[in-house]
Amino acid sequence: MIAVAERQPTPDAVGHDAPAVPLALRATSLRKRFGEIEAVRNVSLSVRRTEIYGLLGPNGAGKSTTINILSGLIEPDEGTAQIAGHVLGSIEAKRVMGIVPQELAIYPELNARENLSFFGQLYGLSGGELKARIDRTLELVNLENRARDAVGTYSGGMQRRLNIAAGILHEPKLVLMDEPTVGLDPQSRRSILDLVQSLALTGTAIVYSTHYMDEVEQICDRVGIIDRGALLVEGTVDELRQSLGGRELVTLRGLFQPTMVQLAFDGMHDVALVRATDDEVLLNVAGAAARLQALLGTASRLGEIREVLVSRPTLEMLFLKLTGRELRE
Amino acid sequence: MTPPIVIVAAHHLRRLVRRPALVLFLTAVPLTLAFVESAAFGPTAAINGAPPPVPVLFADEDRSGASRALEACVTDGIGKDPLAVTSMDSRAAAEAVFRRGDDAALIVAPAGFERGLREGTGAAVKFFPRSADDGGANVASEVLETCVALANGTLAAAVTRSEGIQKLAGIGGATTRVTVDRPPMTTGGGGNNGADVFLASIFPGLALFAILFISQAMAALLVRDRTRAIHSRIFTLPVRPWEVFGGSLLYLVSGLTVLLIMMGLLGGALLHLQLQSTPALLLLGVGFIVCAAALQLLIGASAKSDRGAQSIGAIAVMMLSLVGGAFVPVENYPPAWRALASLLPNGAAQAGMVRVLTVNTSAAGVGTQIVTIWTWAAALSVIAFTVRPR
Repeated sequence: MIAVAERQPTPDAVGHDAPAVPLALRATSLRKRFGEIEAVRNVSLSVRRTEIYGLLGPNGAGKSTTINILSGLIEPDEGTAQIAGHVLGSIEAKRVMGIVPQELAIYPELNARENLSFFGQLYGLSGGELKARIDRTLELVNLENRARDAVGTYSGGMQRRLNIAAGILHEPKLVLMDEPTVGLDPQSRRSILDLVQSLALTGTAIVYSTHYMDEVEQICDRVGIIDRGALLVEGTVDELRQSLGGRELVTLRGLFQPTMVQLAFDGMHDVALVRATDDEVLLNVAGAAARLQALLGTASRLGEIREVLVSRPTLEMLFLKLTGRELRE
Repeated sequence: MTPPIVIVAAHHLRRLVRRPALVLFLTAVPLTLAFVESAAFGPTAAINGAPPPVPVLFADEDRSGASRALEACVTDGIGKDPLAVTSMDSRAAAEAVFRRGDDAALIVAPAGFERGLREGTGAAVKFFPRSADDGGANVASEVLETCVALANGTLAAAVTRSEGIQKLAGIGGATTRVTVDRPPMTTGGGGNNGADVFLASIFPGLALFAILFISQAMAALLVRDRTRAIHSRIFTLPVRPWEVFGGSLLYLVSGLTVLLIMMGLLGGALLHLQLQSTPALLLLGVGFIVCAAALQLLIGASAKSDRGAQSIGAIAVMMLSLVGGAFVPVENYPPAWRALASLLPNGAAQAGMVRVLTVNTSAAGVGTQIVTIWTWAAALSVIAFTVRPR
C-alpha cells in the first residue's frame, strides 16, 4: 500500500515572488505555433518545490504542447524556461527533471526492474545506488512483488505506476506529468493520485496536466486553467472558486425550446445562460437559493421542468464562465 | 561509468534476446541458408565441380602472327580452362577496363613484338597482375609463362627465325595442363579448391542478403519505439542525440556481426569453406554491416510508421540484393549493370569476399571494395543521423 501523509497546501503558493521555497520551474511567455494553429499562447508559470501545479483544460487546450515544451521535446517559438535554475533543454535541466508522458513509455518485453535499470543508468545512476533507488521506487509505486515479471503482463494501472516510476527514479526536482490517469478505473486513479501526493511530500515539484477537474481539486496546490493555448487564470482551488463570487450552477432538465430560453434569460441580472438544448438548460446564477423560485417560474413558461439541480461553485463552473464551454467538450 | 552508447546498445540487445520468436527467426535464416547450400552444392554433390575461370585481359598491340599465336595459347590453348580471356584491341582500352573491372591480370603483347623476334633482339610480353599476392593473377602468370616457354622452345628448335615464327602458331593448340598452385583445403594454407571455390563464390552473396534481411527485423524493434512514446521519453533523458543514435547503430552492428561470424562458421563447418585472410573478410563484412545498419536506421527515420518502414525496407533489401548480385552472379549481368553492382555496398562486399575466399587475396587486394563499402558506411551513417527522428 502507498502511505499518504496529510499535507497542507504550500504556504504562499500563489504569488510568484514569494521567496520561502525555491522555484523548480519558471517559464516565461512561451509561444508555439503549428502552421495556422497557435497551440501555446504566451504561457508563463512558476512552480515551487513541494508544490503540485495542476494544468487543467479540455482536450486540445494546449496542455500536452506546454508539457512537451517544458520537457525539451519541442522548442518554443518564443519564450524561455528554467528548470531548477538550468536552461530548458540543457543536459543539466534534463538531469533534474522527470517526465511521465501520457502514453506508456516503458518496454513491455522487459520486467519492471530492467526498465528502471535502463532509465536509471541513462540518468547516470549505477551500482549500489541504482539498485537502492530501484528498490525504493518499486516500493513507492507498489510494484515490488511483480518486479521480475514482464511488464506486458501487468494491468493498466500497474503499467501506469511503472510509467511514473521511470520518471521519478532519479529523484528529480521537477516532475512533468501529462494526464497520467487517462483510461484508468477509479481505484487505479486513486492509487496514482496518492502516489503523486506522496511524491510532493518528498520535496518534488509537480506539474500535473489533466482534464479531470476532480483530480485537480483533490491534489493540486495551485491550478492553471488553460484553453486554446492560453493560460486563462491561476490560483489555489479555493481562490478560483471564490473568483466566481458565490455563483452557482443551476441545471434544469426537461423539455425546452432553446430559442425561447435564450430570449427569456438574455439580459437577466446576475444570471448567465451557459447552454440551452431541447432537454437541458444550464444557468450560472449569483445567489441561486434566493432566486430559484423566480428562475423556475420563468423556465416553466418556456417548457416542462422535470429535474432541478443546484451545484456549488466548482472549477467546471469557472471554466464555463471563462470559456462558455464545458471541460469535457 | 558505462558510456550511454553502450548502455543503449546493451539494452536493445537484451530486448532482442527477450523475444524468443524473433531470435529463433534470426537464427533460422543463416542456418537455413547454410543447409540449403550444403544440400544443393555440398562436398558430396559437387565433388566434380570446376573452379571458376580467372578473368584476364589480353591486349594485342602488335597484331602479328607471333602475338596472335601467344594470345591463342593463353585463350584457347593452355589457358582455356583456367582463364577467361577478354581480348582487347588496344592497350589503352584494356588498361581502362582493367582499372575498373575485376580482371586478375592484364597481358600486353606490345607493338614490335614479332619484329624483335625476327631481328633477334628479343620480345617481351608484359604482364600486369592486379596485386602481387592475388591467386588469380598467379594462375594467369603461370599460364603465360608456360605459353612463353613453349614459344621459346619452338623458336629454339627451328633452323631459322622465320621458320620458328611460323611454327609459333602451333603453340595456340597446345593443351599441356598447367599446374595451378591452389593449396588443397586440408593443408589449411589458404585457397578453396574445386567445388569449394564454387561454393565460396555463391556463399557471400547469400550471407550478405541474410544480413540485409535480418537487419530489417532488428531495426523494426527501434521503429516500434518511435511509434510509441518510448522514443520521446529517451529524448527527455540527459543523453545527447548522437549517443542515442550511436547506441542504436552499435546494437545493430554488434548483433549482425555475431550473425556474420555464425554464418562464417557454419560455412566452414558445413560447406568446407576456408575462412582465409580474416582481416580482409572482417573489413569487408563489418563495413557492409555498418552500411546495412545505417540504411535501416535511415529507413526507420524516414518512414511514418513501422508498417511503412517494413515496406520500404523490403523493397530496398530486394533491390540491393538483386542489383548487387546476391541471387544471380554479376558475371551474367551486362557490363553497365556489373559496374553499378560494383559500386553498391553489397555488390562490392560480395565481389571482395568472393575474391578473398577463392584466391586468398589480402586486404590490399580488395582495397577498392573496402574503400567503397566504408565510404557507403560513413555516408549512410551521417545521413541517418541527420534525418534521425527528434
